[in-house]
Amino acid sequence: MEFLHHSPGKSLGIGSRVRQAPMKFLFTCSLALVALVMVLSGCASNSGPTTNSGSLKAGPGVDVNNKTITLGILSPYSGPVADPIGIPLANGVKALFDHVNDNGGINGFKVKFLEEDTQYNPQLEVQKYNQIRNQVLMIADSLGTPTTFAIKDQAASDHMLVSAATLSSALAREKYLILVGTPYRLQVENAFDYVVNKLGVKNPATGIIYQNDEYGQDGLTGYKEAVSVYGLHDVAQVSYAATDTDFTAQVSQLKASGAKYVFMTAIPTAAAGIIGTAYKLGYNPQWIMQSPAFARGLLAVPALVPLLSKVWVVSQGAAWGDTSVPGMAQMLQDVQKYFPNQKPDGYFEFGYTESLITLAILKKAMANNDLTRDGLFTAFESLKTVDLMGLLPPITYGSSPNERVPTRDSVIYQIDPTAPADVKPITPDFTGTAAKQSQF
Amino acid sequence: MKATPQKEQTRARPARSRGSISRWLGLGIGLLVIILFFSVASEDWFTIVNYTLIAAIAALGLNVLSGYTGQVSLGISFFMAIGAYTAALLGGPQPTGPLDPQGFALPFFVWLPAAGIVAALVGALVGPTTLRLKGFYLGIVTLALVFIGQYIFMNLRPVTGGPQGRTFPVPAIGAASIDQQNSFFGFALTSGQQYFLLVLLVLVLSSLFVSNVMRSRAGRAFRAVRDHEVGASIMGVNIFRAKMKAFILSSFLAGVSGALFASLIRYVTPNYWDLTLAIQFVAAIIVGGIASVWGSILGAAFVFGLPQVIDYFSLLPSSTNSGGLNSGNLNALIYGALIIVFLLFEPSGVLGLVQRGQRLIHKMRNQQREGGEVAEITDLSDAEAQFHLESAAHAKDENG
Amino acid sequence: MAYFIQLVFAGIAQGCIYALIGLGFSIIFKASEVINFAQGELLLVGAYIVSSGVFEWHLPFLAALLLGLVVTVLIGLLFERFVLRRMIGRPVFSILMITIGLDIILRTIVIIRWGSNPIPAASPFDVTSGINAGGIHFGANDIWTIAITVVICAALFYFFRYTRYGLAMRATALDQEAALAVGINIRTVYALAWGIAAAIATLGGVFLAIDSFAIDPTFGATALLAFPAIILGGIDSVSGAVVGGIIIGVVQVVTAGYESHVASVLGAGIHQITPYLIMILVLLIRPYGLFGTRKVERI
Repeated sequence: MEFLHHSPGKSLGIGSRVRQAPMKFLFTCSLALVALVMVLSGCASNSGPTTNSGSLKAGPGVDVNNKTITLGILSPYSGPVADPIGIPLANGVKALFDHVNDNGGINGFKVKFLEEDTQYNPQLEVQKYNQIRNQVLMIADSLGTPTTFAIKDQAASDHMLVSAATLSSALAREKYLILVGTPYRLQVENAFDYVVNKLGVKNPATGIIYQNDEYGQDGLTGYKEAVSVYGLHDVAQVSYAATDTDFTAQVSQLKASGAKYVFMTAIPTAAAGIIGTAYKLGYNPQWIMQSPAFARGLLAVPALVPLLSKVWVVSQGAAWGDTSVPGMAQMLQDVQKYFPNQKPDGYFEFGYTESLITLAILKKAMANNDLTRDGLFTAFESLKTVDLMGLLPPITYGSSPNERVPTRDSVIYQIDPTAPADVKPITPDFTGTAAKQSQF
Repeated sequence: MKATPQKEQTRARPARSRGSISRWLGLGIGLLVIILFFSVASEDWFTIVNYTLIAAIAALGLNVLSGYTGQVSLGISFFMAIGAYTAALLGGPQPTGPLDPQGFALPFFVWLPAAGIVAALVGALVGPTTLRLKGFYLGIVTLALVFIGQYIFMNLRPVTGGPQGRTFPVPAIGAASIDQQNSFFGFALTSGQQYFLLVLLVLVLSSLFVSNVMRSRAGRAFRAVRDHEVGASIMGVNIFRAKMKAFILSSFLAGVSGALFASLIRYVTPNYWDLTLAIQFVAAIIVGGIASVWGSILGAAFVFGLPQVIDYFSLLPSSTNSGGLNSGNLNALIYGALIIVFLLFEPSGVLGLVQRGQRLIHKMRNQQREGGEVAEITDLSDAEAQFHLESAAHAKDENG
Repeated sequence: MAYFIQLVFAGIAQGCIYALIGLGFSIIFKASEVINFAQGELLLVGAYIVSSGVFEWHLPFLAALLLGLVVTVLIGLLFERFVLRRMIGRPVFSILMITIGLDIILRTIVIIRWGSNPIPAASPFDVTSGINAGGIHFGANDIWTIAITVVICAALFYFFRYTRYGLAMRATALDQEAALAVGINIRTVYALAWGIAAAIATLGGVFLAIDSFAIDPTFGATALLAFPAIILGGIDSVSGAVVGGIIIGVVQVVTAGYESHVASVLGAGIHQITPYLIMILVLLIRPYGLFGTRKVERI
């Protein structure tokens, strides 16, 4: 019956020291095997043809003979962020270039992608970046703030442009990071510009509930700026943790404060809990969601459907399905052709637009006959009024942090289960006063 | 099976000289392999290997506390974070704006040891309250440390950068910072190679130190505490002091490892030092081999290196739709399954597997010589029995 | 005042959920000295199956609930029979680790099958149903949570005190060898322990899901807070689990309700760690929890 009493030490199986020597031999043999494997693959992956042909200067990832340009995608393909954001966004990024490739490419050059799964983990992003950096000309999609920040210094020293799929304001300070769209902070400011200037509500009682991480911080910064610029009556700033499942405390606070307009810098699961709990407690302010807070799945919750129709979402870009916008028409055709299973999704549209900007950079660099990293950088900084076919207003970049914020405008949507992407715009595209003057 | 002292004498000498030849051979081959790897491997392999070696340092620390001293700890990520943020505070660049986190821009031979020392100090502070508890209670309190730590790091903006995180310093020798390519004595070394040398040095020093400690009186005290606390105290071991020593050493190693981790990744948010990370280290020492230096290194290779190797060879394509069996999910499944399989069938971890292999080889060699079966004690987990078995086998070798 | 009472009520309901999860831990621990780290993921699987039952397969709520219970109990039994049975006699650390392995596998399977987008939580109640008194809303879900917890505790109390199998479990918890010696079927005891724990976990998960309106694969992380609850209450005490759970729940929610007032000093998010702080405090004074039995060590 000895086995029933477990004593911690005995069954731990302490290695016998008498056997050290041959064991090391075995170990070094396996180490040799591993090293051999690494060497073989190491030799294989150090390819990065940098040939010059004629007057076209080519950098890594450009194969002049086969006329291909390779770009990198660093995005979560697995893990919690993959389904809601990572995968649809990457699909959007690819869809545009599928279209471009089938229509002559860029001066005959086709664009290929090296996709790597980062699982929204900075360490993995660093490692994947190192894996592909000699094989790509630029990173066409790097998703997430902590992940993108993990590679920003390396990218800068590699002179590698990185198109960042995140709307954190802190990106504006980085030379080689391409911001695509209005930062979260300005979204908040535009929302309250709508309330105060367009709806004419003077001195409204406002509050914000934000997630306790860097995403939430950006929203909070915008809120504070909005409070001072628009003279809002700030009654509540409440945070929640990403692991919270009960929101009674937070909602009770908001309710007790009497906030009439509450901004939510949240994620969908939390948004569901917040709105539902509020309704349960008999509190119904005007909810304004930051763009990531809304997901189609929320409309599947029966209790929430009547509530959601009154909620606003701050975002940007042409409404899905609005074929009067040429970019949207083209995108819809591309969806049907290349990603027929893709449901209407704001992140897909975001990725598609992101690629339009990448395309503009590549075209300009091609026009300058300089497809090197530095050539792309020069092209990027000199982009002026790039036409994004109506998906976004025309954008201009530059070299100062303020200029690197490409757009400051937003559209306020209302959730509408009958609309294609479940949202319908209730304002035109606009830029509020606070957003216009915000400094980065 | 007891041999007479004289026989033991004659047996001991040839055994040791034979052991030392193959030991030197093993060392030589190992060195050759390392040099080979160093010269030809590509940068991405360096990232994987560097990451694994740094993890090995922390795994070593955890083994000191949990493997050798038997104190359940789920809190190693807390101490790693302490080390990392100490390094950042001391070595980070001077702040340029009001929002930038603090930094004193001290050189790395100040911040790297300081990271370990401060983590050790925190361990000394936390130790007396935590180490009073045992087993499950200790485990949950160390788990609590991780969460409390996360709360502190999220809010301590001047040091940690708050939820947005901050950049971490890179070791630099004079003006040459090792995240750039530099030339030493005419050799051009890439960043990966420079990191590799630094980390390997730290790992080797730590390993030698730990195995020395474990051979010493303190090490025996650790094991005594683990195996039978009451018995140990009866024998005169100061339980509290032994536990504290283990805790402090473990925290020191964790702090150094954390600083190197953060330096390698460059930018870390406080979310990074979470329970999942701590559990990965526990898995590492279990899979690799509890209470063993090589076990820590092997375990780190399995838990931290292997998933990335699997990813590198892209055994499964990335998916274009939700869910499904993509490489990330497969990695997680393999990870969970590995833990269960190892714990079920080979509690001594990979090291135990290797040793079983050796025993098998040895048994076959003996069979060839003698033509008969060696009387085998099947309880392989009993160290005493192993030793007797092997000395008996040795005796047969000498005489047969 | 109404604000405070609202928080306390929500805290009690939340605490009952912790108590349910903690009870599951406790029962398994008492019977077999195993700490089941996978309790959170059993909760997750249960909640997902109930939700799928209602929204995907269009079952009525109770049928879906039954399905969820059956599946999680099955998982618990199979795991106990084929994995844990072999781990008898191994050190605490290893067993804890193996349940962590199960935890990882379960969560990954959920992600593979359902993806990581949030899915709606199945609820038999209307959102606003409940009692409104004095400006405080006593939600139907919360009332039911508290009621069911009380019922389960009473049932477990009766079970352990007055039934054969309950007695068998208590005997096994005290001394496995002796229990074997008097002819108690340890296998049945273990199976029973895991079955009950899995069922209670599913119930807790369903209540928690109703409270959250939508669930995603990170949902199981809440179960971790049951640890401070049972340590606070005493790991081998049924009433301790409940008391501990309620204390933790109330402290957490009340702290969350007032923390923005002290945000400038204490920063944000302190409600996440107050359970652990309280646990540490209690452990300093009473190392075996409020109602735990002091271990007598035989030298």
